[in-house]
Amino acid sequence: MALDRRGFLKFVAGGVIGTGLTPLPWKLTDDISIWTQNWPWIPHIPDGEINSAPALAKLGQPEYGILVSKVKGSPILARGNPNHPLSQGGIDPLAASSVQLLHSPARIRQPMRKKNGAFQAISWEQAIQEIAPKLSGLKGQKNKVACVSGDETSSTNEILAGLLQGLGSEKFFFHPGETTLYHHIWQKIMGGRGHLGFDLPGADLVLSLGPDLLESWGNAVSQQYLFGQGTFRLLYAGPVQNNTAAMASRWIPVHSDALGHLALALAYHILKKRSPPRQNLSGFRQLHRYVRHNYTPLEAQKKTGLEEATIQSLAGELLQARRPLVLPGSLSGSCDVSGFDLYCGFCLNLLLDRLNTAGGMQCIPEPPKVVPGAPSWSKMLSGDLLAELRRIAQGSTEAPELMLFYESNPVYSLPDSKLTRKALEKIPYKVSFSQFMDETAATCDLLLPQHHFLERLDDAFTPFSSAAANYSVGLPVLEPVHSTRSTPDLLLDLSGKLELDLGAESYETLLKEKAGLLDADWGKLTSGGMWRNNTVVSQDRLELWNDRISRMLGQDRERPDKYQVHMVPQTDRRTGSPRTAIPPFGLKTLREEELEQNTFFIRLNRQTARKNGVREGSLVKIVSPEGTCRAKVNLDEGVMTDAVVVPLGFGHTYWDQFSRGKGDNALQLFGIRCESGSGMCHCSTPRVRISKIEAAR
Amino acid sequence: MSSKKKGGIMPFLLGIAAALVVGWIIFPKVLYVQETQPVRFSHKLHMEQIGECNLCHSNREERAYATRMPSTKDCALCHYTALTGSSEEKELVREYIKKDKQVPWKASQKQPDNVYFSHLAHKDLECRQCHFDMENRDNLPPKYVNRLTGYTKTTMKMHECERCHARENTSNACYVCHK
Repeated sequence: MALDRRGFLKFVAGGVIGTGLTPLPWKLTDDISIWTQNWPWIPHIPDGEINSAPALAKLGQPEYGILVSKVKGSPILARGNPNHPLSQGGIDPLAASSVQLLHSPARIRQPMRKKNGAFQAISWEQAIQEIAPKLSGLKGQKNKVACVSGDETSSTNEILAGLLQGLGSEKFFFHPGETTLYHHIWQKIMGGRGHLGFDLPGADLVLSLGPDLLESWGNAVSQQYLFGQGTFRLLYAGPVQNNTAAMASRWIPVHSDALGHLALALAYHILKKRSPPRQNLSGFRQLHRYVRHNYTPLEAQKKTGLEEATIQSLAGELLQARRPLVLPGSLSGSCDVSGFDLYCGFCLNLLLDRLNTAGGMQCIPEPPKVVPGAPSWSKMLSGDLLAELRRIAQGSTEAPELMLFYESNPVYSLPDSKLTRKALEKIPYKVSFSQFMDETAATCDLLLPQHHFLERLDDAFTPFSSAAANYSVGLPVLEPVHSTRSTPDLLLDLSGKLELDLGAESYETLLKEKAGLLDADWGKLTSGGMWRNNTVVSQDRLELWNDRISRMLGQDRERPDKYQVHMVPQTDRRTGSPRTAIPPFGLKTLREEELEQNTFFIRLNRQTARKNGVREGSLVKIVSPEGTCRAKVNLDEGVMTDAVVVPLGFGHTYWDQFSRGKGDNALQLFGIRCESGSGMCHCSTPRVRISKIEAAR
Repeated sequence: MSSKKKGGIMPFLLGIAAALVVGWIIFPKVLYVQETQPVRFSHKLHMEQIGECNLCHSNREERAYATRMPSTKDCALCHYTALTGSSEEKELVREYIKKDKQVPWKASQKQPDNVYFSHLAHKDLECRQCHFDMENRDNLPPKYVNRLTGYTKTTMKMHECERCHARENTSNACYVCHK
């Protein structure tokens, strides 16, 4: 059979039809579409055996041991460490993003110097040549160098504070947060010793007066685990049905500025039904008299907005419990709590005899000092950064010549950002050790990037809210990705050049010495274990009443009439922490009613919305005396009337594309409030005004 | 004229037949590269001895990371020395266990890098629902790698994930699998 032209065409036509009856065209089309996704520059997860290495999560509170899974030496995943008592196998969304953050585009890859308003890359030798003469020139001049640290648990603080002491400065400050505020009220106002911890594992009833302890207060990871074990019954008092309220046996809706009053209203019933506490409490009678006169059931109802029966039943539950524990604190796990609220919560625990006892408040001893010239931990916690910045901005104190920022981003995360900026502008030379190009690093003159926590040796002594003294050490799990340096080792090098003896050759030696002083096993610490000691500090004489307390209790708490809505700040680790911005993992998990394009959502109930003339989806302006934010409305009946939930963590102006320009920074609505009596400056939880901009949908 | 007409149909039929042969037989052979496993392994025998998958495939501990091939340490728990006279086992002990070298197993169901698959989230399913009848196999299946995509022949495609999610009333939103 000869194949002519016609026959050939028939063969081709048959071939085409036949091909359509095979998987070839469909499979080929599908495979080509997949092939177009496989570009060589897209990173691939390596194949091979998976190994785990212990590490210590150091992205801000909470801090606990984690495990990093590695394939062929490359970290691929961070997960909870079941053998670390502060993790128990749990991990929070920010720590879960830690491997991803190693490769964040916001990471500072090498030292940088600002010249003519722009950063230029320099070598480490050039960086040291730049800073060493400046520090040397300021040596011996009182308070010319200052430092802000946002890591409350690392021994690096001792090196920083010791270096400052050697240079003649006492201006070491911790970034304001719950640790500093609790310390201030406990030690300076009530005359307590040690620092406070809370024995949640030992309690059978926990009353949280504000803290969202399953999300943002203390070590939420460990608290979630304990709650899951059912070791305690949980009651929550606060203005919003957050995660803690949703899981609690009872939610008692109370506005944030009434939480301290609720504590004293409960004290009224406890004082009536219980004998005086065994602890030696100076001023017990005065407090008794004050509560009896000012928190009668009628007064309590007026001050808290709660029915008398609710307060009575709550007091009854506390009295019936064998090991009750009251937790006063911030709604957002930050510095938005007043001295008054803390004092009232501490008093309630003391009246219930819940000090240094199982399931109560614990007075934890200070960490041992390993840098000879460094101040004590208590002294380091005593600095009040908000008060200092206010004084610098107002010109009532001289600005330091040089300021160091360690793991702290005050330009973004402090209240009254205008005042913070004004104060920082007065400081001629600023140095940041930040790993990331954050808002504060961008204002600095010299950047000396620290390793990512997975690349460095670091430690954590008794993170906030721990029940007992504890100590953990994290070893690096990989070689540094960029040309960064360990800040404590850099500081030790610098101290050598400045002829200051900080008592250690390297950070490793220093941590080993600390472990030795604690009688902790270095091998166990570095293999993911934790040292723990249940020793508590006995209290000679606590003060329930003194001049400062009476002034603090007596101050006027009324707010201007035009700001009527209580702002409830809410922290979510998916949107980062005060020192870490939204990680890419976190951004992916935000729902469309949390962030829509670049606008975040506030939550309020229908009645509040109606009162303020807004509705679901309205684009609104939130105005406080300190600032303004733009948001959309999400109606939520889990929020009290006249309250609005505003999420934190948005509105970064630096960092990377995953966090920059996403929503507004709600912290700009906060002001700084320096309380009369306690003398403590804190972020004031503002009342705000909500007004509609336009109908958005 | 009539014989011409008959001859005229034959090229058309031949075209169809040739296309069917190419499309069904030659194309799959060309598209996939066959890779054999480095060590012979009987799931059937091991299931008879051990009785559960998790002992070697501890995926649930790894939680978010899909592939968890047994490490040499896992094998060494039983095979630190050869248990039988089998030459394959002797090779495993000599070449991998004694040298503490990872066996380069060929994972035939590895998910692509852009898929975030958690075994923990799927722990209520039977292993065989996705991994076929692996527990009754006396040898490991060869791995067929697609030359174009790099995927394996048995990589679960997105529509299969979606179908099961829909059936189980689980969200099919993009971020559930693609982080």
